[in-house]
Amino acid sequence: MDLFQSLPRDEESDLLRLQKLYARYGYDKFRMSKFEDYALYLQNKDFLKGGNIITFNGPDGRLLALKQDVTLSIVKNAQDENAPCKVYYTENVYRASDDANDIREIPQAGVEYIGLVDAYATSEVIRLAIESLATVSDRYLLGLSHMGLVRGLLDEAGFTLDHRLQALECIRNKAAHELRDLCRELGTDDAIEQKLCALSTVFGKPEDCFDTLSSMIVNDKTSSAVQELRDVYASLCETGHSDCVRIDFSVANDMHYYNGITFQGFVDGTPKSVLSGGRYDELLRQFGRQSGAIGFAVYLDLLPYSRSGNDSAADVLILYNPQDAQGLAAAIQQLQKNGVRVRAQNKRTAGVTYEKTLIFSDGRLHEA
Amino acid sequence: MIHIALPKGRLGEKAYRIFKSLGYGCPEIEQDNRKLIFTNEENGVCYFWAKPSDVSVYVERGAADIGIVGKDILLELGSDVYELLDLGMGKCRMAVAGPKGRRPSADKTLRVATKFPNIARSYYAAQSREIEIIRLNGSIEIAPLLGLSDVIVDIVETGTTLYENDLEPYETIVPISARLIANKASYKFQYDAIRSICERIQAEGSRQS
Repeated sequence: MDLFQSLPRDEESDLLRLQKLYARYGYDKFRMSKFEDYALYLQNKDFLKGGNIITFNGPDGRLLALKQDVTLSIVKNAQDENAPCKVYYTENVYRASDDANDIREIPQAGVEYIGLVDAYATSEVIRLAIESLATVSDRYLLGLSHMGLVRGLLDEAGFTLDHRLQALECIRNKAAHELRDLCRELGTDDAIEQKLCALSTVFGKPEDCFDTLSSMIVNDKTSSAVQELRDVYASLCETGHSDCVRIDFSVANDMHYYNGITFQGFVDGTPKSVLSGGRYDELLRQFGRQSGAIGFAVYLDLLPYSRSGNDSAADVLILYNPQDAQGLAAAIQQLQKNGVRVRAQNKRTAGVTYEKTLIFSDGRLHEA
Repeated sequence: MIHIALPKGRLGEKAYRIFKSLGYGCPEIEQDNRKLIFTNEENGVCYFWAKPSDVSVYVERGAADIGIVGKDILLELGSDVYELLDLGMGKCRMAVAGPKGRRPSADKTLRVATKFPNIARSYYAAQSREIEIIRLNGSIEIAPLLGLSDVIVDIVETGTTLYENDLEPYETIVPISARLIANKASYKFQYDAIRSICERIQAEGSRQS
């Protein structure tokens, strides 16, 4: 029996469910301190998407930061090149808003696989991402893309770094008209322009998109990217994880760090992606490492807990008079035995409503 | 049900007429009443009017699934939304303007009055030019006339207001027009409905051109 199934869905119970899921696949728990060297974040600033770093001086004068990201710390600490490092984490990260007036503590869970990333490892991590979405929501979708296809097409277009970044932004915003204007301004070959525009708009179940993707093959990089997407999807189909998968290149990620499959998870009722991940061998290269890596993070602060369920802490409010409370405890106990959440107060709190309010007097409960 | 944020004013009214002509009409919105949200269950649409600069906020945060917004607002706010179509209406340009026949000296910090500080900042940063932003909320053209700024960065449609006040556009930063935007999650969960709206607008656009 799943003990966690009986808990209401909230941030804490979802974290427990996610931990249980990752442990079931044999991932080790990664724990870290609240602080990290500021230099680690500074050197990899582009990897940290948004959010200002909160810094302070350590006792020895070193500049430290409140932990803003967990992946970088895992990569820094994963030493053994010969055996895969398979870890998960549930940690709070800290970010300041742009005006730095607002510091937030954000609960995050995630999985990282560092080592020789083979086809099975890739599909296992994506399967875990899908199961993570299923853990936190009943209606969810996973957008799947491949940086190899994006990079391969941009190589053929012959764009400079600035133009590559502009084109990637258009793909991420599904702004085919902007991409077309950029290609025409730069005199890009018509066939490549069409393929890039198609890449920015393609969306749907993989089996409906693979023909379109195959028509975008222009070199080895694009060919192996499409083949990898096909292989991963076939593997997800084998285990019944394929229904929620959509081909969608708007989830393409940073070109400096990500090099293979990238994905984002969306749940109904949340306006932003709640899960983001992919293959990030390029980040490892920045640490002087030759192995590969794939992983994802789940942003629990974005889930719509506050919009579902009962906001009140109790179902029933009992108002009592301190001079006339004989038998109150037993009356509350009786209600609680029937599964009712009871809150007893000697005075009403303005502005808070409960499903039912009862008054305790003369040794028994009365309707208010 | 698709929630649509329309910008108050001429652009929003024109956009609504397009939606109506494509079968997404909503009689409530055409009535003289004080309602704020207008729904047509039959056509599966729900409209509301928003301040033009707020449309992308409503869409980014999922209060609206799609919206109509000027490219100027998108560039200024850097909104995380899908920019699905260039509607080709509300055409104008973001430009640098200043006193007629004079160009500010390049050897001193340029004082720039604008409602669009982010656009101005990134335009001049690309030129490695040092500037001082003077953030105003309206009547930007007065700033160089009264010596408050050297130039302005603002939207120029015909340029009439500039010329009548002895000002002129110096450089175009970027052409502007209205865009159809969508929330990134809504687009996925309501793909068929949103795609159908896009395709109908595109078909209507090609029919007219």
